[in-house]
Amino acid sequence: MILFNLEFSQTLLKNTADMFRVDCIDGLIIKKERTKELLEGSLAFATALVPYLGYQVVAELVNEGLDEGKTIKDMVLKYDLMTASQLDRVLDPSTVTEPAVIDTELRDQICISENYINYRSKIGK
Amino acid sequence: MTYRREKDALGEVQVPKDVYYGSFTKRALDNFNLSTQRASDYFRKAIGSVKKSACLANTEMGLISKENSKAILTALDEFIEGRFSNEYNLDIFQAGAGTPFNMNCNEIVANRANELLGAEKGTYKYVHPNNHVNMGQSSNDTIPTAIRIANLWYFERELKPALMQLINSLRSKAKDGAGVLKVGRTHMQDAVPMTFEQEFNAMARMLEKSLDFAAYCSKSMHELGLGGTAIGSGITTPPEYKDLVVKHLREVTGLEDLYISEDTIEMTQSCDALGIFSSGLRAIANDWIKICGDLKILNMGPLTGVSEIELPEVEPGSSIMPGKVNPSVVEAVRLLVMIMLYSWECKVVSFS
Repeated sequence: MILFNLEFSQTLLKNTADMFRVDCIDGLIIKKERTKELLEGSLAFATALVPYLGYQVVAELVNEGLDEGKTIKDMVLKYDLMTASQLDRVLDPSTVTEPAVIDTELRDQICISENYINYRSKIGK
Repeated sequence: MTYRREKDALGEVQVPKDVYYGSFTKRALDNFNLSTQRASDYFRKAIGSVKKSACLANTEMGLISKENSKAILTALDEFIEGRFSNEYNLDIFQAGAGTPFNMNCNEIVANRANELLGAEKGTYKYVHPNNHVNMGQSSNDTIPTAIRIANLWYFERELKPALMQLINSLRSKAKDGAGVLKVGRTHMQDAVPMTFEQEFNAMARMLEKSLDFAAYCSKSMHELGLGGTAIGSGITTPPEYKDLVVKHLREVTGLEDLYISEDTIEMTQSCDALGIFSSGLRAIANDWIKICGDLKILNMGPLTGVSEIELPEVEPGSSIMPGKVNPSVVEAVRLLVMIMLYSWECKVVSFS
């Protein structure tokens, strides 16, 4: 019985591994355009902005964005909290998928900017 | 069909005239017809290798004549190669700790050896299945040893390479996804960004780890009870037998790490090592459930789901809905491993 179970298990795993590799993984296509579209329409970038804008501000921007059907980038630009090029730098692929150095100078600059202070008082935080 | 008559401890048995197996095997063929499952070629080669090592050891100790030894070894080599595979074909579901498997081999080898020495099948004139082919052995040590050897071979030669190829394919797919940003999800909800490279590398790493674990578990099968004979005490074997037989076994099987246990009494009653190896296989199977589930979600679509990847089309998905294609392979993989986990895993429970 033990012999049967072990031989059968190993045979099943081996044949399944081959089928999985040949008929699934090797021919798998990554849909780059579709993935980009999903990502840009999502709020996945929001977390990356927390070190610069703070948790409460980002949360508020996310909620507003969901109500209005806008992306987090759109919302940041709507309230002029950061420039487009600052956003691009902070949301660069290497910054958002790995540990990254926080640009504290940029952070401090944003914190004392008029638009930021106005937004915070608008949301009461 | 014509028959020859063989006599054993229980009486007379009619055995087909020209076969190499004998009365014990004939009884087993009649008694055990429970399933259609047969042991693998690896098992046959393993039991042959055990007996070859025993014969070499016994010859070295002067317990078998050079003439008989030569004939037995020739017969064993033929047995291992598969010359008698249509006669080594018992149902794998059998009782008695595999005694039929052991005797089936003993009889084939004895009859072939006698044939080489000029005697008729069934007479056991020069070489006897129990006295010579089975010298210093019992089913209780040969069969567990053969089970371990067969599984170690299969793991090294078949399963491990297949898994390493799968891991390499995932790593290669990860390279295709380098720099391709996507949404990372937790609880199937949008979370934070990641790349496809990270996604596929993580899958590869999971399988690497479980393969390492399975390889570690397989080492528990290096410990053998060979030489313990019936209950592990070594009755009927000379003191130097264990060292000689394992030396030959390592050479014959190519498995350098085999060793005889310090406690062959424990080995004779314990199937723990096989349960441990089974847990190693379970670790691999578990990973696939996760990986296949994720791929199925990522493939959901083509127009109204996540659809971040496209799995290869292997068959039409429906007999009624034209153009529909299902993720058949990932579904099959997940189903197969779940069946493996729930039905065929070796949960070893000790009964007296």
